[in-house]
Amino acid sequence: MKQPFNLLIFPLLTLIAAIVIIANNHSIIFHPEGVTHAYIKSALSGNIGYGNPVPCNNDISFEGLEPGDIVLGAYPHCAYGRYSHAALYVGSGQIIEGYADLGITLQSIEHFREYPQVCLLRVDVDPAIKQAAVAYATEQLGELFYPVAFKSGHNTWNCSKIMWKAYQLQGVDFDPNHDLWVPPDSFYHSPYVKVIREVGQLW
Amino acid sequence: MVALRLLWIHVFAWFTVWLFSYWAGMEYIAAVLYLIIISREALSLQGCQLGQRIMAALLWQLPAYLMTVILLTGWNPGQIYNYAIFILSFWMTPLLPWLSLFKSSSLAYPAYYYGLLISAPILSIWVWLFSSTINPLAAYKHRFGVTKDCV
Repeated sequence: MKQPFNLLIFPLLTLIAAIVIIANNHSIIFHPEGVTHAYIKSALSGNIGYGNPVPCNNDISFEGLEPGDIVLGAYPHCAYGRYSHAALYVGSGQIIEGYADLGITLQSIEHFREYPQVCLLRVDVDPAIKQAAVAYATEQLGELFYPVAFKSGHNTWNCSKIMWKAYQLQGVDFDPNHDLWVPPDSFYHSPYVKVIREVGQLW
Repeated sequence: MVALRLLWIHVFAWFTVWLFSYWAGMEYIAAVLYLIIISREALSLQGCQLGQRIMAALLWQLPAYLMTVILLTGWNPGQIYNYAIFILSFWMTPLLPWLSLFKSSSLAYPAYYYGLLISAPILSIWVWLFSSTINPLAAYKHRFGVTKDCV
């Protein structure tokens, strides 16, 4: 075979990197409540990705949200948990969120009406911490979105990683399990939040 | 054959760059290595006919061209439009470390999105240039005995 180095170097590096990552994180990767386990289980039952967008116009009220609060949205059959999307409320009816085409972006909160299920979460920490989290997330506008961005990486983001990082830098960790990724459900189950309001039905 | 080899390299570089991004900054090393390897592979096309070199440069990025066309035209074969940007993002993982350096958000889309759209042509041109006998690395082929293997 000509130039076998060219063909073998990346499979070899992939194998080495995968072994090292698994060795360092085996307790969470194989944990039934870990993201990896949940995703594989979902994938095996035919659910891949963020679920199936369905026509919807929910009537949730966004009143009472404070900058730094969290908004979660869910499509049916999301592979990585109950909620498929997360955003950080920054005030004046706007949120910071992550999309594959728009990157980390500032949008109107109104588009969360497209989700059949929505939850508003009050982050129950000092207002200064919330402001600092909002400021950090704002600095990342325009940054690159990558669906499977590792928490530990520094220049790729997804919708929940940006919020996790914004708060983690202020000493508030929404992922005490130290998983490789942060799913939106981590915010819902965190002791740092309380539910303000939620609409929609489970499926 | 070279197109298949490039495809093989690209797919495994996808995994390598992604996994290396677990360690902040390491993905750049994998991304540099990727460019070196595809350049080495393209050198094996030197001496082939122009048409064969162009075919090889285009064929290995065919999925990316398809996703780019879908995104630009709104074409929705098999309800794939909503997933095209995800597929293109995954496909271009070996280039993501470079794309993440583009920080502008003043346009309709962030700069990296436009970078994704032009990534397939850039990779094709890259391979075509390295397969061209006019490139300054032409001597490399002879020095290291890279043999001809068209398309």
